[in-house]
Amino acid sequence: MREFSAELVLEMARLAGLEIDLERARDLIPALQPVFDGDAEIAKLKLGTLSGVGKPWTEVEHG
Amino acid sequence: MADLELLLKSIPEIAAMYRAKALSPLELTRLTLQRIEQLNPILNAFITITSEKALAQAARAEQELASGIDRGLLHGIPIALKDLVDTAGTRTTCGSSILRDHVPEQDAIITQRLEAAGAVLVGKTNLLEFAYGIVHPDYGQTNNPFDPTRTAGGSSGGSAAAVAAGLCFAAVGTDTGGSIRIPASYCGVAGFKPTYGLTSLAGVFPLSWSLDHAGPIARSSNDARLMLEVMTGQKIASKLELKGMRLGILQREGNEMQPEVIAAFDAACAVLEQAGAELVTVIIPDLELADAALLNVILPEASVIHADWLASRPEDYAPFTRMQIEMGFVVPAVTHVRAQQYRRHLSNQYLEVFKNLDAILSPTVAFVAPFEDPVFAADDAGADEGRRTGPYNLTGFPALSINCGFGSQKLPVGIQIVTRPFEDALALAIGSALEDLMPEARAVPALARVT
Repeated sequence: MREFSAELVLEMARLAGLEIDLERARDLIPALQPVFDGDAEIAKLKLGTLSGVGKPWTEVEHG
Repeated sequence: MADLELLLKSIPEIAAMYRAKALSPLELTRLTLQRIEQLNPILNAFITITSEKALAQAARAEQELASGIDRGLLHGIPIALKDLVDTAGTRTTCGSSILRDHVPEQDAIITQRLEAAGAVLVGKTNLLEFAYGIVHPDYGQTNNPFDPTRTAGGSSGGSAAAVAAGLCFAAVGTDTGGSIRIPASYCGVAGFKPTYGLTSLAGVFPLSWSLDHAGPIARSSNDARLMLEVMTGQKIASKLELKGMRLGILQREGNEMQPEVIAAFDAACAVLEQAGAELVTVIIPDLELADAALLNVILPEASVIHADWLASRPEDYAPFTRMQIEMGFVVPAVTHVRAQQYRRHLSNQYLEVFKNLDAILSPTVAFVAPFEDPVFAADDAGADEGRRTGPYNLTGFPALSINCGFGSQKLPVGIQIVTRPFEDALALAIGSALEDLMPEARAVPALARVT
């Protein structure tokens, strides 16, 4: 589990262009925790150079 | 014929009556508008009722049909649009306070196509705020025709409730994590999310560009197919022989599953088996990460869309919607890209399994309609609700929900039929076949029978 503080949430939001106060940043933490936990699990798949753009499926034949 | 029976007929049946001069578009539209006036206070399915426009369109359809101009089966058919589909001159609120008075100057492409086919727009339907977090208190929840103390589902709940209760013959919904199929399941109707990119989203307010789909909600798979043909401008048809077809069973189980949903799903599967289909249980590797990936794609995409309003008028959002938009600013770019990579990985896993299958079946939702819409978030009921629908927003594969029976409280249970990309017609054909085999699953809500 990646742990993070309200200060870090506030700074990350600020870097992306959103100004919020420390209290709101703290309120976001419980909802953000599973987002980062999920990302950590996806990272374990080690998807390497698999593209993340274009249609979400590889080519299939269709009529 | 009783008025209520007319309002629950199929689109081809109404089309045949028009052409036999047994019914006129104006008569049916007036009847539909009366019914909306009667039931909308209970269901809260419509945000805007477009009576004047509908009567003008119906009069035109009537005149055209009388003079031999036939625009096809939707000509003169009352339909509705989710209120994030642009309609020139008619407000499009997105279920929000922010766009409460927004009147688009142009129609969405799908609006244009439906109007060109002669469909009659009776109104704009209720939805979760911007199709996202939660219902905005200015509009309130859409209530379920099978039990108005419960939700019709989100986010296209207004479209599903209106169709189920006979307030229109079909409607357009949008689906980013299940927002067509979940309300279709709760309201006992057919809801179809097409292959990603098949329907135009020009003029449809976005939630998450890479996950958004627009599709039809109707009382049968065939009516949904007819809507889809007009929405896409393409012929959507498939020959079907259930005998010998291989169908995969996926996500039948899980802690969140209600036993009554499993029972209805199993009964539908048994019917398909009796018709000659071969059913096999399948596993999709790494599918358990789909909930997380969906959230990690939606959150930052939606936040970019809402950045300006969040900065200038944050109080105008419902509190949970605002929180979700704020969360998206904290999701790193790498997290978003990794989730996008996962989508391609997941699609590959599905395509591998599809090498030996024609379609995949699952319950659409693990439970029947709850009293309120669960909020969309990780690790809670919101994730449970979208667990069986979200994977097909990630993969972009076509997915249909139709009713397959009822739970202990007579609430509808949906079955989901998934096919490969561009096999939309096959999914709809399987849906039609199953509907024919299970006529008892096409029950009409008691509310729609109230005179």
